[in-house]
Amino acid sequence: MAFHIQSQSNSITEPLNSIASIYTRYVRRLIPSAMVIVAWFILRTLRNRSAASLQNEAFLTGYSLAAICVLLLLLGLRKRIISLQIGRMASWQQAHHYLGLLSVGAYALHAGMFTTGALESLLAISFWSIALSGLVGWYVNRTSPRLLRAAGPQILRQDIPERFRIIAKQAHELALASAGKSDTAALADHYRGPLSSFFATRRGLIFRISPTGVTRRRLLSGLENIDRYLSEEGRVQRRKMSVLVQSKDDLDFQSAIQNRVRLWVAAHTWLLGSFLILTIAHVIAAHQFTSSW
Amino acid sequence: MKTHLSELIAIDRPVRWDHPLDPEMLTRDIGWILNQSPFSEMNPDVFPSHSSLKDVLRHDCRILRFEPGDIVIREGDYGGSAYLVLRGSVLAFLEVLWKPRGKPSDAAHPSSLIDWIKQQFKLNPHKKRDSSNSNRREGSRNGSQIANADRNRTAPVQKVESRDGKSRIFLQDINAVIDGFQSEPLGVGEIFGEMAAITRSQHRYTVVANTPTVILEIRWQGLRILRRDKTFREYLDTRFRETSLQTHLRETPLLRFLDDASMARVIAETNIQSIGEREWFSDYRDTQLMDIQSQITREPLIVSEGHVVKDLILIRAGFARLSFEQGRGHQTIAYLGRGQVFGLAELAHRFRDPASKPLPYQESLRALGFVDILRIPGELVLTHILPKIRNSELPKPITNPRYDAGGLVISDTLPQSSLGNALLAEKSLSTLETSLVEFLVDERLINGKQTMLIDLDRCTGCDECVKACATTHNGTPRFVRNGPQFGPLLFAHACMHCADPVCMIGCPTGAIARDQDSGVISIDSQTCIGCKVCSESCPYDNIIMIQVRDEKGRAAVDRKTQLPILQASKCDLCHELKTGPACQNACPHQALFRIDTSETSSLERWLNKRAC
Repeated sequence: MAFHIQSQSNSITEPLNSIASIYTRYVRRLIPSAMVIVAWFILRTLRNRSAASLQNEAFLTGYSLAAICVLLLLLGLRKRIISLQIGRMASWQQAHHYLGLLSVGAYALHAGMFTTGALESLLAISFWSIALSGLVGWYVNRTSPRLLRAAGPQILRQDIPERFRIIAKQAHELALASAGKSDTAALADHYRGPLSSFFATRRGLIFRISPTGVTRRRLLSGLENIDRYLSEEGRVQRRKMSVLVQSKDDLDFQSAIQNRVRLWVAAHTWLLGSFLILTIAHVIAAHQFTSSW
Repeated sequence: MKTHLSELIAIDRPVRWDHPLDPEMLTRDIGWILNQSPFSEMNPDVFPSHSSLKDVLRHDCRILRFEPGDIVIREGDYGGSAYLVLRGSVLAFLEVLWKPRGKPSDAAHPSSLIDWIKQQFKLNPHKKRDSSNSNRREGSRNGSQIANADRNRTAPVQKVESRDGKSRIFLQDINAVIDGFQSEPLGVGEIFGEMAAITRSQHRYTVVANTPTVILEIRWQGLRILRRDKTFREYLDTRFRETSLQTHLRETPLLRFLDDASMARVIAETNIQSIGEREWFSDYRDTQLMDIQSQITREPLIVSEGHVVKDLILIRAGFARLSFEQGRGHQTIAYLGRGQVFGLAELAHRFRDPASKPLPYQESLRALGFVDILRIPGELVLTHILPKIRNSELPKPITNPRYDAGGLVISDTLPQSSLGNALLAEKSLSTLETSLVEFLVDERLINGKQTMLIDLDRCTGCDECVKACATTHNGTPRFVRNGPQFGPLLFAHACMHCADPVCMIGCPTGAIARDQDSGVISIDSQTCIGCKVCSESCPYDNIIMIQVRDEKGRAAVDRKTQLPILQASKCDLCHELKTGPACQNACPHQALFRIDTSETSSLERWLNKRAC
């Protein structure tokens, strides 16, 4: 039996490990959430005081919102800075999430839920779009790993087209091998129908945005239905074809999820660009047409 | 920088010895060295014409001069060269002069609030283990009293000074150090540092110049060629066996309370044995295609379960698989690496109850590729070692043996898991699930010191890690975000900076080398000649060949053949960045980690943390 003399247990640390678990699970999230709420209340109090002293509170909330937006923008800058010791990207991402929440609160204090005027409305739409895309991004990031794992071993995005080609070729060869024999001809006939296009083409836009197993179930059910026309050998080939359908669908699924992750980042960035332009126009207009701070 | 990716630039193909170890080595120096022992006894005819003895001396050697007190090699640094004393003498310190250097992630650097609290209240098991470890290493072999006295000695002070335009590290007050620490003199014609160079590992002792000394440094590429000479090879092998046996036994915690006489007896009766091939990677590639049970049965058997316990086995280098027969196959329960022992529980059982029949080995031990073991006779362990070990440090008694004196125990009350539970109760073996241990062993991930681990429960496949790597390394990422997968754990194709870096074995120029301080294995682009030996040796496909480009991004081609000039490329852990690996820092989802998989505790800690 093997034994390592250096290994010593320390049962006294076990309760602390449980505390560590609680800390990791809850406190780590509660502290920044509480900070966001406190920051929002401070901003609201300052706004009310400003309004009470007959100052233009919109400038206070507006510039606070602008400052938060600048902090949010720093995440993009951080991605490009690799060599400096300025914290891990994961910490920045967390901070970005909480600041995003605060920005929604600050926006509500600044502009309320509804706005009037063309520029203001455009700016509002832009802000809510970017906030929504951020929320979608958060959701996508949270759910993608689980979805990707459900689709089998992870395949690199750049390898997916080659995998598609291999599976399509295998399906085509299987169909060719089945053709011309009465024992297996039904499989070849079925392949000429819905399967050939399934293997040869990419999935539609709806699947790529929100992939589901509807087509997979339909195709597999269709394949099972032709069992009655096949001999035992034909059924073996049919099962191989079913496996290929599942492989192609898993690949489609992986492709859709991986592309979705990239798509929302791109969408978030594009919306950010338009929001920045509109914000600058808004600040200029506000200073131009407001008589006092 | 504007790049010209489609443009080509013709250059001379780099060849071996373009960059000699010492460009200023003179023909006169080579003539002088050839007249010194052991070169004067060598037969120059055994060397091929393209790598003659003179060529080796000219390109793979350099002459170093030291003053008294100068440090030649330092314990803990990774070795890449052997050193031969040409004039003067040096002292090899058999004791540890300094505490082992900690990693940033050690207990001294708490990573979280809870870690900090544990450290403040001295409840941190890692810290405790570290301190016991350092005591163990500092303790003298002459008994606890002297060990206590040792703790009062002050560690030697290292100083740096510039001499002849070069920085030298030396020990302040060398005479006091000589008086306070046990050392062994090495004179003219004696070689040292060869163990670390051959086994691609850390130096086990510190060597300091005792007098004005001239030393010949032979980098391991040259050492390998010099081994063609029979006399030199035999000299190296003998010395390797003698010194490695002594050094390892003196460092073994199990033997730390032995007095001088007992230690001398243990050294005299212990056998050192090398099992398997040092170049195990080629065989591993072939066996990978076989089914797992065939792979296991092909592994060299060190000890078979059910056999009488003759020896206590200490692992000196390499890894061994611990398994037992399960049905028609073998179930792996752990892997043992350097410093771990096998057979102690069975011997302790006999020691506690001498009247009962001795238990045979409860599991089998097989070499994973290559392993160096020390065999201490069981009787010697019972009479000289176990009486001096505290009861608390002995393994727990074996209550449900798998084998007893009569052979395999067949009992309804011994379910498959009971053996595992017995082992877990010892707190000595891994608590990782068996399938994960088997996966790590089968994929040889046990070799990794900095294995890239991606948590697929967190990874979104955003490729920020790959982008960060590419940005850091002139646009070419040095790893592939894919590899062997175990459940949600992906072990990516990134250099693991292995405990046994077999990629270094064949490098003809020394371009691939281990950093002395950090242990990072990196490739020097100036000396790499693109021979592909390292990439073909790496069992994990973690080294890729890329086309050489100049500062303007133009691809280099051979001036004569117009064929592309290639160079090996692999992860260098971004050792030039203060921030550490860019990939790890860039991951926005905390999905990418570097784990030491050569021992299970790092992975266990990480998995426990992940479960929180």
